[in-house]
Amino acid sequence: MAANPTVIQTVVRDIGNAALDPAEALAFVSDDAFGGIDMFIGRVRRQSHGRAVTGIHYDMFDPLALTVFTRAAQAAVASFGPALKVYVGHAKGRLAIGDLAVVIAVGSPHRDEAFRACREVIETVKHQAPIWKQEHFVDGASEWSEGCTLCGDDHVAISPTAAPSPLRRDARGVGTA
Amino acid sequence: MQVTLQLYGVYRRFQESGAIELTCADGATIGDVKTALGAYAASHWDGWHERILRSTVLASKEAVLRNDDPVPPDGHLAILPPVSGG
Repeated sequence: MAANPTVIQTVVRDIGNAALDPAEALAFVSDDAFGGIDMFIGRVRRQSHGRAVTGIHYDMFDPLALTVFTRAAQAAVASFGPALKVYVGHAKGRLAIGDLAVVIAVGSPHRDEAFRACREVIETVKHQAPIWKQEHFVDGASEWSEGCTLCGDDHVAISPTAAPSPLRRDARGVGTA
Repeated sequence: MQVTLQLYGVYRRFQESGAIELTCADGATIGDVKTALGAYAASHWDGWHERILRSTVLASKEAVLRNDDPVPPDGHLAILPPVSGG
């Protein structure tokens, strides 16, 4: 089902062209009918597992990632709307310390729906979107971070409304919050 | 049939070109492609371990595919290791 472009906006931003812009997200979810806006920003931090990093390279399968973003936003609207606007943006390419990796924003009439929807969307992005991090360390080494498998045991299809499976484990303290 | 696999994440470490082509029987399923991928990897990639394949899924542009799904008619698939976005 196509997303309503006035309700849901999804963005993949190549850091080589432009950075993610929280003001853009804020503007999209703002509405005179909404009294609450919640925003989650994930940014590259300077350490991972006790090792100093110089940056993170984000690799992404864009078409499926955008599909996952849209489904996550649609699920949030179904659960907490219909009065809801959702922005989902993720960066790709080589990010430096402090650069923004992900921006999720939700606007709603009241704060509770905004908080809960925002949390649900970022968890889906982290657990189900086809995005990978390669950490670059100060000693020159680089490693692809461990993450959450998209298959529980044998295989699993991405569900637009499914909560993260207990079979999946979170990325462990890597890169962003 | 020719199947083109686009590589992502840790798989890029094994093949700089970012893609491989495999020959599979007509009517092959995703499970068949994974088996062929495992055989290719074992014979071509240093540092390869089968456990990587166990945590890998194949996907089209629209969805993650199950082992018993057919290969899409265009033969284009993406190899998705465990994800770590956000």
